[in-house]
Amino acid sequence: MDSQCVSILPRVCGVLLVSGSSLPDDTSLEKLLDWFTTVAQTGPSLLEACPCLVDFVSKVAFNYASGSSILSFTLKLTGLIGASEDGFKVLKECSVLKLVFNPQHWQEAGLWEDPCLRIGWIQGLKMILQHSEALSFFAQADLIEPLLQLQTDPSLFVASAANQTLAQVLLLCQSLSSVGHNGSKNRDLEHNSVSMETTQNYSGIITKVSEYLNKSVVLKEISQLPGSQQILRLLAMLLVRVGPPLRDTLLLAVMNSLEELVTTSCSQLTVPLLDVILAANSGLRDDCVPKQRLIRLLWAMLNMKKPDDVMQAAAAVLRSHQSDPALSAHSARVLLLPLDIVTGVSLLDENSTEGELRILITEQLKRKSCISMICVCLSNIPQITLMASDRLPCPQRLIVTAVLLLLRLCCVDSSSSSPGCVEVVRFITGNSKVQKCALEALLVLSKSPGVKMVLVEVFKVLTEYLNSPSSDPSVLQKSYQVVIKWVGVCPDLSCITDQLREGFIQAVRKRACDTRWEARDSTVEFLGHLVEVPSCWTFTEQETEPLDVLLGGRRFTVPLLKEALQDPESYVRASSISALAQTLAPSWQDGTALTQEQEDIVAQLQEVLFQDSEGFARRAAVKYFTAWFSACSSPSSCWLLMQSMPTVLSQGVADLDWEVKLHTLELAELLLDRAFPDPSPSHSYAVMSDQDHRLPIAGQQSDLLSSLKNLVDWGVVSALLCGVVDCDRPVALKACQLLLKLRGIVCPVMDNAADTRVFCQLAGASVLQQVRKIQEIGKDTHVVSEACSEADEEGICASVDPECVGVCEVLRLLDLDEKLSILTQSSDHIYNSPLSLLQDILTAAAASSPPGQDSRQELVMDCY
Amino acid sequence: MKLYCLSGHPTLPCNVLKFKSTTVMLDCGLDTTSVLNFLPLPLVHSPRLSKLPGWVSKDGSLNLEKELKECAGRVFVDSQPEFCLPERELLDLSTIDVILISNYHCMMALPYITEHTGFTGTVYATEPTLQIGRLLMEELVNFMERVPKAQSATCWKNKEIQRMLPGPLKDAVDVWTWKRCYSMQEVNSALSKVQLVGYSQKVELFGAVQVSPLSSGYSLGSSNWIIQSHHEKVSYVSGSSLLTTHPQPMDQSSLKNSDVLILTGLTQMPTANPDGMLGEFCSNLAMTIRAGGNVLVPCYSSGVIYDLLECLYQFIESANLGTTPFYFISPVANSSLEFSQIFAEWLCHNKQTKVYLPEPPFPHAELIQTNKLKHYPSIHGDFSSEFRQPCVVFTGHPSLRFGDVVHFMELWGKSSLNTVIFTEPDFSYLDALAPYQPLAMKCVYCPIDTRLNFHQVSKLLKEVQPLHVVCPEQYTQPPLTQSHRSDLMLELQPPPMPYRRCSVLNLPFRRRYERVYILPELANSLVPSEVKPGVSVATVSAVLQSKDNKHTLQSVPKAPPVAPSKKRKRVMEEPPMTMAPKPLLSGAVPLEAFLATLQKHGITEVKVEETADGHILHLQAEDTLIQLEEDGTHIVCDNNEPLRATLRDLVLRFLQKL
Repeated sequence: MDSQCVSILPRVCGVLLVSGSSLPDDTSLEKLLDWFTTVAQTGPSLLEACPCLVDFVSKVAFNYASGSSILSFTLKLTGLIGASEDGFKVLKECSVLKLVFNPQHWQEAGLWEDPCLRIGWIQGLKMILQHSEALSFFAQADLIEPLLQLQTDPSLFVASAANQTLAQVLLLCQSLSSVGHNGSKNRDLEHNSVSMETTQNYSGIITKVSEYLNKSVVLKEISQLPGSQQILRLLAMLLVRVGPPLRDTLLLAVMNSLEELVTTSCSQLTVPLLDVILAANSGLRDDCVPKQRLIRLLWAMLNMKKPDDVMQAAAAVLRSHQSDPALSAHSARVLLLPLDIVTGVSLLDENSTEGELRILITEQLKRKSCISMICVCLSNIPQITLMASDRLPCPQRLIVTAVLLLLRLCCVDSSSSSPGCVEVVRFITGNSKVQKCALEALLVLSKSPGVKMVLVEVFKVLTEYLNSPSSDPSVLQKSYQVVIKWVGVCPDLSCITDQLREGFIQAVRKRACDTRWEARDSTVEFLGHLVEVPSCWTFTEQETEPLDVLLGGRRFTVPLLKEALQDPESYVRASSISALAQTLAPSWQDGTALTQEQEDIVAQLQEVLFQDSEGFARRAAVKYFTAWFSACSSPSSCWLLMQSMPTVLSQGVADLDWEVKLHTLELAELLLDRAFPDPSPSHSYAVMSDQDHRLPIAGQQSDLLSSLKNLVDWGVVSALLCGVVDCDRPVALKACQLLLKLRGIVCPVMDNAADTRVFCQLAGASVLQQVRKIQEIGKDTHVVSEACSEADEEGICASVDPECVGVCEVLRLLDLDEKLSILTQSSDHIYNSPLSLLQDILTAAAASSPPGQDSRQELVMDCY
Repeated sequence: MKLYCLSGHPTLPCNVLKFKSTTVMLDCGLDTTSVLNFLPLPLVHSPRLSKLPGWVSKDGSLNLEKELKECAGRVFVDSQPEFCLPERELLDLSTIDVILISNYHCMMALPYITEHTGFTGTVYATEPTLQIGRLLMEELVNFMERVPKAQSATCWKNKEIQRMLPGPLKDAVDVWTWKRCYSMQEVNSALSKVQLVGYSQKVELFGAVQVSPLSSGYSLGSSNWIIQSHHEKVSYVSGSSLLTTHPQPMDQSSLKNSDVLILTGLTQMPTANPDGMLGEFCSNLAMTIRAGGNVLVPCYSSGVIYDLLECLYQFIESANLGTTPFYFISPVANSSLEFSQIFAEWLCHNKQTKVYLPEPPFPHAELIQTNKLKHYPSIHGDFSSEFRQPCVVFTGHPSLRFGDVVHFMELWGKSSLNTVIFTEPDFSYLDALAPYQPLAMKCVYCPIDTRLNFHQVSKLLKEVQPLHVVCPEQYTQPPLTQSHRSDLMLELQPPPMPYRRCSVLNLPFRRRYERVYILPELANSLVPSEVKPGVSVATVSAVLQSKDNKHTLQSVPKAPPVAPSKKRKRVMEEPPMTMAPKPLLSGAVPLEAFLATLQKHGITEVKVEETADGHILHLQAEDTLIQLEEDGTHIVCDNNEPLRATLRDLVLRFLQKL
């Protein structure tokens, strides 16, 4: 811990003690507490580090004239100090503990009403409850009573914190009693007697908690609904967190009340109640008695009268993956009912037991609220498909058929009618929410076994959606995703006839000209993604690419994408650039000869880099070259790529958008790695010091020299030098790391070779100035002039070029290590330091309290 | 009140309302779908159309080679196209007092009604309706007269023969009422009867009713009409729109409290959302142009075209179509584009404000200035020298049977690069294309119909709450092709009254009140007495005079001095009797108080019996009955006049007298 902080902490405590002293801002105390927590976690002990805190705590405790925020802070601080056994002892000795955690004390002072104080009390208590001493104190002071009262506090924050604390109490009881059981043999008699006593304490606490839960779970009147919900949430949390013996105790205690609550079937309680039951159910063995009762409860919930509640219950059961097969099979049936009724596809056999529910749901489907019910049904189809096929109410193929029919019914232009519920059609037609849910379900269903047969049907429906003028852009996007998914899983696309393909092509072509940019964007993205779908095999063992099957190949997509490069919307331009990269990637990998088309694209992309007003497009353009470079098996043989590099790098690193700059540096990194392939794959950011680098080997120098020259020619070095002085920290950091890497490789070898100097030009005058400034700060050597004069001598640089710098010299002279350490710290690290916080508190207090300095206070107010 | 329905077309209505001794025709729509049965009229000699084989029945028994031609597997009438007129036999058209026009599409039959029928009334319409209506009529006449066809086919209309004809011809109805297009002279004569009105302007008809147009939001100057007397209100809703397009927004609130609302002109494309269709139009257009093809848009010369041009104005930049020429070809193209800019007061607020800036309300002016949009009266002349491809051509007529569009269909139909985009919802596009088959060019159907859809209309009706709704029968059931869409029909309580062509409906409300004026001197003589707070009553004796549907109470003329002259005496033989009227009574007799009063007057033995309407008091000693009922009091008392009089006076004490 900073000694400076320790030295001013007592003054800070003094300031905090003075009631009414103003703090710099509301979060100061929280920050202070955070700092103390860090100290407590990392250092030996909080009290050792800051001995003045005990004094502070006791002073506040005895003088509750302090503001409620200070009191709350003090309560939490007390908890933090008492969390360690040593601290606890100290607090106990100075009798602060009893006073601070005595609710009576605060009630008498009239402060208990303030939720701020209550939350301080609870959180302090929660922090302190880390060891058996604390638990004994908790039990002896009978703090369980006030804690239980706070469980349904009117303040939600207080209630929630109280829930957490109660859970903490029980967990501590549980862990200590298990230690008591297992470790008692090794302990001496005295210790044993203590643990006996504490065990009694535990059971007392547990009994009280159980009684409390049992009493409060039952809903007596509707006004208690929020309280009941809170208790159920607490119970669910407890059942998840506590272990077997304690959990069984709790469960047995509340079982009757839960059963009673299920029969009241209050809609608002359905979800929290289900959470409790499912939480309880998850860890129980199948043969135990409570398990049977829980299963019965779940059955009861699945047979409630309100269809919405039943659907929710069924969905929760399925999601919980609980083991009872009959229960999950029934839940699946319940969830599929709306789909069955709406589409008339008989997913469920008629002679099933859910006749009554069918009638209720059919009624509900005639109302507008049918939308949410259908969406619940559809969004749970993924869970249903995960079930074992023998438990499914029908083959997955039938579900696909039903979803397809539903999609047809939802489509405005379709004239298909359903043999199912007719009334529902008016609500779902053109409803994009249902459409999206159904498409999402269809996406998942692509994995189902035996559904490949319906690919043609799926394809037809999706084409219909893509073609429909009333499809929302989000629906179009989803449709495209489904196409990709289905095409990706279907091994054979020979069923796509020419007619289907033609319809699909027309739809895609039309969407590429859509008036809504979102639709154009999704279309362009789709064209890119389609390339990445793996090839498939036809019956005739021919390898075919889905892109060729669906759209007739790159002949179709590249012109569309090139058009999209001119799109008025920058997102579309950016997407089209990415899609072009995806589309051309295979030809890059194969090393296919460049076409005129590709040359045009490169020219257009350079134009984007130079002229596009939006960052998205420029970022995509840089990434295009990155993708090209990474895909290319031998970039150096691709003249166009390497020719473009200097332009891309110099333009990219001088961009206004920091992400463009960063992407440019990533490209530079690729080039760097390519120039100096690393034999030992070390961490890319590892900094190699000059000392531990290997000695130069003969021949290495000349290789390095030529690689370095290449780097300079490609513009990598100047880009990095430009980047390292960038005002955007991530950019400068990245450049700095790369320069360090370069230094690590180059300098040890080149140092010994004075005659092999490599010079590079810096793009802008400002960059040069900054580099010079760094040089001056570093060492007093005139690299530039020296470099140029030597260059003159060697004839490398014919005229004196003030923008020319020697690479190795710059690398050596720039204090990159220091720069790196500055850059790795976040830009606000000074403002966020504990010292700064303490100083702020002092300054604010000084500004507000001392008399005779009013003018300064005004000044501060003014500045504020 | 009666409604005579002369047209069965829901969006081209023609109804006659008889209301309070006035006969009002509501709209005068011309059903032009009949032209689809005729061969196209090519502007340039078409070898294909001129060499079509004549139609002979399969067994050869029927030979109508001259009148009917076979084309693309269908039979078409080879004569000048004819239109299906509104019914003219249902009532005597000369009795019509006024014709109210709601928009320029609904007045195309006007010359057939106002000319040669004895019509002497007035036609009311707004200025844009008249001017643009005139343009559309002029265009129609021009289209027909440019390609004169001497032949008039009538044989096929013979019932016996028509029965044996194939395809749609066999099922065509009312073929004998079909008429050839009117002449320009008839148009001028018909339009000379139009009197211009402005929105919310009140026009008195014979003092009986007041009519007033309201903005309907559908097209420039389009209106709904309110026809009301002092106590009755009939609303006539024709093509209306709630979408934000170029016209002034719809005035909905004035439709409130109608006794009857006649609802016509809903969207013909209830499932096609205009925004989606506009998007579809643009993307198909861009797609075709990018592929190097031409786009043909068959359309009317006014209306949706303004919105299309506005949409394209925004779209062409973003879709890189900057250099593609747009042509608008119509005999009235220039006037239509210019008229639209000058009707500022009829435009939506947004466009109205532009009038005060140095900026025309519609952006098509800029398209013309920058030479992106060029307009020509026809394909002949300048156009042929400036024509560049690929291009976009807007031209009429949307039926593809006459007008310049016929030429472009012949020209571009064979290439699959070209696209024809239908935006007008009036014609089935497949029927329109029938004589051009087989067709290689792409066809896109984007009907843009901004009129109210069922969802909007049910919301509107919920808001304005008319007592009764009358509508075409088509609106009372879902469309035939989408019978499962129960949301595509009107569902109202009470159910709407449907009508079809030739229906005569008795509108279900009785007139109960009439406004009567009192002359000042008569009013002065009245002595009102307050019967309850705020309500005063007075008796009046007067003479009721009715003239021009105005009713006035005048003082009773004093009895003339006896025999000033012999001649007069004969006239005034029976002068009105002026007797002082008995006072009128009002109020109720309170039982308890009345019994107490009786007791005061020595009548003690009273037996009170409760009846359905009140009470019967039996005065046993006097053997007298007093029946106290809600609307009368009877004293049954035999041979004891003094007692009756006393009892009467006692009863009268409790009642107010006038």
